[in-house]
Amino acid sequence: MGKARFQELEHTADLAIRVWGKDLPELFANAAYGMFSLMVEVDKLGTEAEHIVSLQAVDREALLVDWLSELLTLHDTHRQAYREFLIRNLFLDEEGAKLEAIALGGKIEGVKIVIKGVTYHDLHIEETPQGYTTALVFDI
Amino acid sequence: MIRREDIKKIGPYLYEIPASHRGDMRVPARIYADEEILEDTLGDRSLEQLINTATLPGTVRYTLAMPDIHQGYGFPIGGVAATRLPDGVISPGGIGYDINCGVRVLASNLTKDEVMPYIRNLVESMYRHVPSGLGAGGLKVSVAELDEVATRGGKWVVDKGYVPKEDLERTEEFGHIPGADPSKVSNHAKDRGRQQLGSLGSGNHFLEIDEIEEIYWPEAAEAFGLNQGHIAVQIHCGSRGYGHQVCTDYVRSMQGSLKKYGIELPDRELVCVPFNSPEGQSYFAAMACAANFAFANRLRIAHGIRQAFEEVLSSKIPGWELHSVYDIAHNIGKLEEHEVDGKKVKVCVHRKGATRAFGPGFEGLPKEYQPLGQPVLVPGSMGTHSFILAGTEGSMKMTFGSTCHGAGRTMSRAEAKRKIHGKELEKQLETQGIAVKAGSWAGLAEEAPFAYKDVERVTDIVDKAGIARKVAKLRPIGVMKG
Repeated sequence: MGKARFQELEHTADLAIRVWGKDLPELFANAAYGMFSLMVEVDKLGTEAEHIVSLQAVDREALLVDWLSELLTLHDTHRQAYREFLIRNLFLDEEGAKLEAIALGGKIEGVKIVIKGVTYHDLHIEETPQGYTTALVFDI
Repeated sequence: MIRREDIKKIGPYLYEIPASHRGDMRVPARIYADEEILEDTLGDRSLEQLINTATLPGTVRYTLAMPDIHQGYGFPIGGVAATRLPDGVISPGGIGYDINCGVRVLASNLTKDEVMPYIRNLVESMYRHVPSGLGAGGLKVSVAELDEVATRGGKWVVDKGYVPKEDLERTEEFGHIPGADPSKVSNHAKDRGRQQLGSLGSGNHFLEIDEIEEIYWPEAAEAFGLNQGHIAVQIHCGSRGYGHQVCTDYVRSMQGSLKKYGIELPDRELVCVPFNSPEGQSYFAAMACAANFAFANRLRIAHGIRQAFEEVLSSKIPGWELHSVYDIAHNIGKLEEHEVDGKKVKVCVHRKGATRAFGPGFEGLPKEYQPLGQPVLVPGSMGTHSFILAGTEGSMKMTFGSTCHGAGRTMSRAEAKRKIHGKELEKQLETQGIAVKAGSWAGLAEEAPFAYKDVERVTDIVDKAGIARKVAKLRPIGVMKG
């Protein structure tokens, strides 16, 4: 894909990344890819596990936190991690934000790090000439 | 950006940022530190985060940072804020994702010299008896049983016959926070929790065998069952996926409630609602479930540790025992009474990386501890000393009965990994006489001792500032990390 999808940032106690995407669906997919990259060797994962995720939130920042949190719950419950994210629908209106997506991944035996939560701290989705970007801080 | 000149020194180890520093502060922000720790703190965003906590509606007196303060999210780690009940706020992010992350300490009649020949076997055996790492591996329970754990906490573990009732008595809140209601906990949380009871997790969670190296206050040490030259075992972990999900769920659901209650915040992670609102009551009931799960979790792990000792020592050293010293929470919201403007008022004390440190005379302690104060358990970083202290009258007067919780990181995990490989660190620790067993090399390197503040300095400050009194110093001889 050529361009960086995410970059790890320095954080004293927790983990933080900066994520980019040419549009919001790509930002959401790259954020999920970045989060799982912190936890496992994503490129070694299979794609046999598939989950459909459907969410609604008050705004796009809340939707991004909810999306990643939902993936963490699936990961912890099924002992899986995910590497491909198909964002089928992502729309925003006055009532809030909605998402429908598919996550593909496989079984894992262990993780490099356990992420306890996806926080709102420093989360501001910004528009740039190239698309969208935000920082994300994870509690570990 | 906060500068040194914005901070006033108001005591030998106490600094204050006045409420006038920023327009949205409701109360001043206080920091227990010395000049060097204060300077370090200016290097990250922890003081900005502390100032943010001073904007919470209903906050009384001042918000506080302990000397182990470091940058977190929402609250700084080492942060304390008390909000007036009934309508002051409760903030899930101000308690954290790992609800009732805490420490349990067991002490033994075994001496270090007796244990040393078996230390490697003990660490390996603990690794087998206490599940660690990812996801499941804990006791599998039904949802109905899990709900019982959530409402009864440590009592459930005692009734199942895993640990004696003396363990429960030597636990904060006697291992059970009232007001827990499992109907306020999501199915997601229950799906995660029912596979994880009695498991350690990973990250900075650990089990550690220590030598009690030094006693500072013999009378308290005797009451706590701590003898110089004997060993102690520390358990550091929390409420696992169950608690993480409770926090996630309520940080999510409260996002829509801010407007309803007219609350404006500098950081969405501080999201909060009035304690007496339906949302606040639901969160507190769910948080209590997660806190009770964590008490049960550490007790069940204590059972695993005793099994490991039995396996290794039964035919070697007859008559060994491991008795509980205490069990404390360091990520929690508690309903307590404290003095505000000369009057006792009910408050919700948020402790995020801070320990309750109630002084002498507190009736919620076992009788033998009441004349001395509550034991405060402060783990160091891996490979360095840990400390046992006691709560004081000073902490009751000055810090809503709170003190520090640990060493406090000064270096990111990424930087720690760049500086040392886990394998090299293991070798260094072994040279210092510390047996290590870790789930991964990277995880080990991230917890390298040089990534943390000096815990001795942190505990010296709280001791000299009068918000806890040092009782004993522990030196690690065996470490197991998830």
